[in-house]
Amino acid sequence: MQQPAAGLGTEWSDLLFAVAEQLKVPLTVIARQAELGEMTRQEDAGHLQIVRTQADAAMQLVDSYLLGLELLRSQTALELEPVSISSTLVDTAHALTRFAKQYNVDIAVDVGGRYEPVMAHARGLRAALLSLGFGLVEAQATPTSGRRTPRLTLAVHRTPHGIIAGVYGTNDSLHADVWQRALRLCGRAAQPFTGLSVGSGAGLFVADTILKSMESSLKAGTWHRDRGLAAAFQSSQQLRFV
Amino acid sequence: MNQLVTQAIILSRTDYGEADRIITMLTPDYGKLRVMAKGVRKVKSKLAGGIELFSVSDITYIKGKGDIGTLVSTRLSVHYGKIVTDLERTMAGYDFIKDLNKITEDQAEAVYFELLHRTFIALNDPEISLETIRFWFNAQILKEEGQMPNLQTDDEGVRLEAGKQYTFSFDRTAFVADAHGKFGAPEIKFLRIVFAGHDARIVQQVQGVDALLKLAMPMVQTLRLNMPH
Amino acid sequence: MANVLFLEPNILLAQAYAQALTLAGHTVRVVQGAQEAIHAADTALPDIVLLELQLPAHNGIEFLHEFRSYPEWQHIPVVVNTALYPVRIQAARQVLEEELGVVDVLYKPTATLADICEAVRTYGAGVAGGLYPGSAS
Repeated sequence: MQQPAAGLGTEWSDLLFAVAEQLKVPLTVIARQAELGEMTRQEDAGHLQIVRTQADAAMQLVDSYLLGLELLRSQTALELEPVSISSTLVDTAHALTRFAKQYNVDIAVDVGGRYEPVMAHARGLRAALLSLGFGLVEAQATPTSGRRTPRLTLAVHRTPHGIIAGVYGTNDSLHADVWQRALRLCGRAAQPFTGLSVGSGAGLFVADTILKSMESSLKAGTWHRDRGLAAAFQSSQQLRFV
Repeated sequence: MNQLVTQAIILSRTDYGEADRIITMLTPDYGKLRVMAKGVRKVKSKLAGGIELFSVSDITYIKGKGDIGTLVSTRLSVHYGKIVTDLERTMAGYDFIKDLNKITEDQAEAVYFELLHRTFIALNDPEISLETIRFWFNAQILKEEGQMPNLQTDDEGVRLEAGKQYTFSFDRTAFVADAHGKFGAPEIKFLRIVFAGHDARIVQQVQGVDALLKLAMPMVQTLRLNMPH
Repeated sequence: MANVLFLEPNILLAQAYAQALTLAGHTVRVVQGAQEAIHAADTALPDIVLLELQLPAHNGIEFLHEFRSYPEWQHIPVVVNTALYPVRIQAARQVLEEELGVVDVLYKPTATLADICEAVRTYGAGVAGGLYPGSAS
């Protein structure tokens, strides 16, 4: 495999940043024109909704990538604040629903129990979970997902390592070794995930990058019988002083 | 009627009557001026050119009997258009203008026109960071207002030494010898470069400028806050 | 129903916004540049201004300073609808809201036509925005 030329890293990173910023324009135009079409052409509303939802999902990926880059490039310390993980997961589930429906994938949340807020960059956390969710929806709808009704579950639970928040699916291909291998192949293989149709996996890698800026990261995990990716967070100590 | 010609940088403008505007400007020859621009309709607002912000214009005006002269003509001399391509630099530009407008409330010497002009030049150069420009601007204000720190001797009048560390005393506006102080030779040399009046571009080129700014910025900001204005 | 002045440099987006707002019963004028917006406001007083901050030749902050320098326009509510990433305008937010009379900031890539219509409905009803902090009483 050809190696990238020496010294290409920063220039390409800057170029990709510019490309990503530019992509926002046509994606916004597509989404808004499709929305207008939904309003004015009822007979095409179904198709136009698909167009709009796909454009919004693409926009989300671009936005999350840009946010990840901003967080990594930021010279100042990340502004962490107490964030309700349960609320964030519920909001994310709502945001994923329309997209997931187009792939006949159900979205579920499991946020039962009381969890204290976690220290996180609020916007970053939301972007990471959304990226992860969008990235995993398609994987649940593929033939390899087995006989179970395709479903994506956003869940939180507590372990000795902290509060674990993750996105888990009925497709049982996402084992730890699959994830580790995919991380090594990120950006170098068109399909770094074996047995999982997530394309290049960009949404998953972007989510991981954002979480790494918050001193967390994605790890393969299970939730009941479902497999997915999750991150550990430390609960906020601030409220103890209230 | 004597028509006076000079360069000018717009500081502010306010409505006057139905169709006139009063424009406040800084000039190198006559300090701070207030002139009436008669019959200026909104289609001739400064955005249309001629009296643009972040610009230097050549103006002709007639000195009035009172404080307000009459603007006869303007011609754009140089426009620092890159400033407005960056939101933060635009806001910083407005902040600097507001700041200078306040400082020159009672009087304005030519040096303030020059300072604002050099600030626009710096803001227009993306190679110079905003932090550097803010620091440099505040330092120049301190210098012009006679509030610059003593960078030659310590609080006891002893020449500052290369091998020693110092802490800055705001009470004495001077450095105090302190083995644990954060200001040493590189830091003091940096401050001397800044206060010597070199352009912001020169300051930006100092090695390790980011760390130096981080250390020195609170000092300069506090001195500015304590300024009599 | 409101008289909307929309400053949007992208003509395809401008078309979509204009049609959606017209369908919602508002009167809309769309302009691409800052000077055009000044002229449009001078021609017919808007009830609300929607504004992208990234403009050709000038930027929204410049426009707002100029716009707010005219007493007759100081009460008009302004909603920013910008493609600039929220992190990037964080520093500007306070100035926008407290000094330049911006009542809301929308992130254009994710703000739907429904969101735009809702903003106009909320802030554009006559003088719903009220006087902004820096205006003359």
